[in-house]
Amino acid sequence: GIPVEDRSLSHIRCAGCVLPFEEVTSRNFASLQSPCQHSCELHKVLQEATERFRTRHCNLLFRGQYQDHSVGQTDPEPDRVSAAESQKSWKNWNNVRLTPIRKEARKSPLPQHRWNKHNGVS
Amino acid sequence: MFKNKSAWFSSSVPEAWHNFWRWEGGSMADCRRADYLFSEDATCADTLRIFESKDYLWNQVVVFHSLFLSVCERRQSVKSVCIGHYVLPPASVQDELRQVVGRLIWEFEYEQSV
Ligand SMILES: [Zn+2]
Repeated sequence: GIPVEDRSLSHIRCAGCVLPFEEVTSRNFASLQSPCQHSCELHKVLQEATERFRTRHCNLLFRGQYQDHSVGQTDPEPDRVSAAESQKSWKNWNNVRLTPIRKEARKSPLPQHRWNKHNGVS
Repeated sequence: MFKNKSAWFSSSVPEAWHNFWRWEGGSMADCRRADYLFSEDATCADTLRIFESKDYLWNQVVVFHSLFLSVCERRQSVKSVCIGHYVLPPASVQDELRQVVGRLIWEFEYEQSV
């Protein structure tokens, strides 16, 4: 097979593919990989599909929280495990960090920027 | 192999891999603090909880497939095992990947390593 360490193959092996275990954790993987402009096909598809999951799920939580925003659209996805609990923590967190988005844009720290990207807002 | 690293294991991960992790110097931690989150089943309740957490939705944490550990064990090393290939996404994302790529990333790596 192709040696994993071979960085000369970076056009098909992106950061997500070549980063060694020592440098990667569950916490930093996303931030290590996202600046990489040359994601391999596999990681690109993975990233895009995961972003769609996040967007979908965030919307779901929003609808749970702001009843008035659930305009007749019934989502086929059932309420998941501990929905109440996750909504509760979501709400706390939402009050702190998300509210500004609903007003006009402030100087947005990075996470908000990401949020916008996920939702296709810009 | 795993010195100074902490891990959280989903209940879907066989006990043998918890033991392997500890045997190789790794420690255990709860899922909010662990350096590595391992699961074998994206539909397991404890793993779902992570996928639905704000950390996950904000792209601040990923879950790895415990297959990573079995490959490390087989090779007696973490050096040539690319952990980035063992990202375990939610089940719906896995379905999408299968449709587009025809396989999951770790399946690709696994084939290469055999
Ligand atoms: Zn890649």
